[in-house]
Amino acid sequence: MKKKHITRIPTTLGLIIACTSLIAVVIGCGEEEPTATSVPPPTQAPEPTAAPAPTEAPEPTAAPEPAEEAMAPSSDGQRGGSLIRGVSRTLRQWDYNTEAVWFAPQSLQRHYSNLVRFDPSDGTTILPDLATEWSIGDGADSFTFTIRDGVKFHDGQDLTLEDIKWTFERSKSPPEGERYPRLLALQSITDITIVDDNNITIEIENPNAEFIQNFAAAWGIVFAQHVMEQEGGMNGPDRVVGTGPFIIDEAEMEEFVTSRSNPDYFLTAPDGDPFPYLDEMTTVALSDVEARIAAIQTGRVDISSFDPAEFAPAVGALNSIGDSVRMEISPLAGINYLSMNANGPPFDDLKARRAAYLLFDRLRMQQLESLPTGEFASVPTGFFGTVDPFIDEIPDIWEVSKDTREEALAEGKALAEELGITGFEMVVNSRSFFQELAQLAAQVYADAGWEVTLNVGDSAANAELIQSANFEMSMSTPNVVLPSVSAFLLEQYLPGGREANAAPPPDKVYDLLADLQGATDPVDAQAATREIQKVMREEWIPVVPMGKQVGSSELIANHVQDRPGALGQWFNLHTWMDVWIDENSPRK
Amino acid sequence: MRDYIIRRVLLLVPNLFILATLTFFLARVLPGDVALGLVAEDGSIIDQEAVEVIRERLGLNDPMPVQYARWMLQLLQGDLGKSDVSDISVVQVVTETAEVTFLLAILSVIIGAVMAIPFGILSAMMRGRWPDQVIRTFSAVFLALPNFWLGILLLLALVTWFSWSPPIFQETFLDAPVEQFQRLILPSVAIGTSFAAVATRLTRSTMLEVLNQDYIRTARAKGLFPNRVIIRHALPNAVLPVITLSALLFAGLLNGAVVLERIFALPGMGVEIVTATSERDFQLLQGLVLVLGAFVMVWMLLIDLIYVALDKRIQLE
Repeated sequence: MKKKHITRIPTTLGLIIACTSLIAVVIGCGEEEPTATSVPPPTQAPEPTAAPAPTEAPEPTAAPEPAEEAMAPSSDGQRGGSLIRGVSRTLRQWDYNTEAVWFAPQSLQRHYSNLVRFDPSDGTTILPDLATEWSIGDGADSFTFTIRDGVKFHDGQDLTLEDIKWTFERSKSPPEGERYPRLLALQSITDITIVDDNNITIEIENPNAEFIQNFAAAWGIVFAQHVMEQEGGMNGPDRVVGTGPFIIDEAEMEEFVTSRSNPDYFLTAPDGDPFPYLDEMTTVALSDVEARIAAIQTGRVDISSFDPAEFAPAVGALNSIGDSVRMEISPLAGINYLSMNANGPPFDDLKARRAAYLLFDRLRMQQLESLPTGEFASVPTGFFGTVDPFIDEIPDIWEVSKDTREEALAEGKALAEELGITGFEMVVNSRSFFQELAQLAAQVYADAGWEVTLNVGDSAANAELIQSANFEMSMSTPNVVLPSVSAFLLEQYLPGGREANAAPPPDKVYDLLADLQGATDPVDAQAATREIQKVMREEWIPVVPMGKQVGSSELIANHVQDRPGALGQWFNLHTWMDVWIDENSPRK
Repeated sequence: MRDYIIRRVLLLVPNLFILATLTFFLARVLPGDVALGLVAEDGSIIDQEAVEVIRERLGLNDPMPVQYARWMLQLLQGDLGKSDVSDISVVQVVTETAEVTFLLAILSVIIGAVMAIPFGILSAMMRGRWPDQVIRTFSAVFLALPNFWLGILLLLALVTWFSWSPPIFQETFLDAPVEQFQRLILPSVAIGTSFAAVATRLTRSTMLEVLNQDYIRTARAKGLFPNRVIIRHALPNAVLPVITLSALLFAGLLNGAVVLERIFALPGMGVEIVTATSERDFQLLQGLVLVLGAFVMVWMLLIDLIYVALDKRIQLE
């Protein structure tokens, strides 16, 4: 009798547990919205999009350019609906000019316009934006823009030339206590003159026909002076007032940014109405890669974006999700390289830098970086990454080519032996992607007989080592967003650039740079670029180029249409005006 | 009792002072600062001048004692400061993130306790028999499983089998209770299961100990039904350690189940603290730690008081 009573207790408790669990699961799994993107059972995965070929270097813009009212998408878009894009991070500051990294413009750029913009299909061609026409002065040191009439800010006020003047004067001379890390080039602006009701001229310190690219870059947006000068400045989403195709609606820092279409946007779509096609666009932060995969798989988002480091899980997800999504790989403008500290031994010696340069086998690195799909995750580069006009020739140069690699290796080993160098310590970011990349680089050096010790730390810790020149070698960013060879030289390698510990260049580099910047003929520009590269490879060697990641990847639901393919050129930064969704979207 | 409470509340002041001081100096042991975090990319510094401008603006170039005095003065004025990165006040950050953190902690503890107490009792009652063996095996397994991994598995399982994943937009519990529950249930189950694994074993062992006590034997001898003996006499004493454990877990969870918050995109305090640390956002880090420290101290005081209410043998001195 006693035993019988005892066994009834667990039965009762078991029932309670079962009921509680069932209720939790039912509530937890309940659909609060219809999931029109019913994910089909796994089918044979589509082939991942092949990595696009490296883009060609921008050619100096010949003046003047014809006006172009709108870029032409491949087909007329359907209007309406909303689109949600999952990204790893959104924003941490409202004024994204103060931000050096790309996730802020990724969420905010669609609210603004530039004077000119890059064609998102190639990432380099300059197209009209606020300016319908532009011309470059004879000395390549002034740019005159003709600004279109009738452009309104999102708060209804007219855009004036004073707004443009104010914006670039702010970039040229930031207010006390502020800096705009991505707009350093604009500090060489010497004068801004409003010529008449529609024309504004911007003069720069030194001749540079490529300077116009700064006005098209993601950070070169035009602000509303009357908003920016309000008390408190850019202190909240209500101050995000631009002339772009989307108006900010609701936003939480580090969480999401929702925007609605701007009915008064100035660029016209092929159907005769203004861009954008979408009614609403949201960027939401899903920091974990599994969360982003789950969100696209279940239709919570229409696009999930992945960093180069997340390529393998993204491919894996594509295989399991099936054919309701596609993958696009966007080329990056960047370059991976090893920074050598020339402020101390051993790399203050050109011979040591040459040894490090020759011992690093870029083709071997590419092999080590092959993907689970069998493709390569990177391509060999020189010093200028994607903007290098001769990037296709890199596999054939003496120190890289399979035919002459042994000779280069032998010279590198001889130099190392002469100097008594057997290895070095390398500073590496603690994020797993960078550690993996560093281990591969160390393997390449190990193959050549050098031992590499990795010193792993987070960004701030590493930056302190670099700033105090307390390192031998560091693995540097894979994503340098710079638009041209001259910009690379100025902002990366020359004194005052990011590589503060790089060896100073031979004097002739400055002459060659002047030739490059003054060249209005592409042939002259290419000749100067070739000569600069020769000097960099033989007489300077500021860094050891490793390669360039093929790009960031995105899983995109098939109902998202007309998305240009080269967005990654600028970290997927564009205004989303010509993207549309078809009737299969759950948010149509 | 009143004197005890007053004494404990007064003790908060020196405790918080020590916490604030420790946090201030320990944060600065980390290499680098927020200026480098804002302006450095991986492997290079985008603008050396910008680093100095930001340092000057934030007062990072001042000597450490000056910075410390400024922080203390600020605290005395009741100002917890603002994020060096986003310029948002610490109070606002706490307000925006506390709900997620608290709900996650509460739900995890509830799920853990709901699983642990009945299974612990069952395991004790069926000691040595197959239900006991099964429960002990599972508790060992869940003890060994990292809860973030369990969280990922749960997420993948629901995505694969039901094409369901948690909502991605954060809303308050009052505005959208169902959506908020859906966002929290998976990480709560993952944390709660780990907790249940420990608590089940604890409940089992305390239950076994209680069941051998004289007063239980007396109760049975009086002819009480076994259900009544368990529920009225054994259970209240057996769950006391579980309550203590739950309270400690709750306090621990307020610091954030960082990995799970990240996996499930929950904007909780744990993620904020980790982000503030990696970005060297000292003002935010110090403010958050201080707020959490204050809460944990008050919480522990409450637990002590609850303990007294549950067990009359305990005296507050």
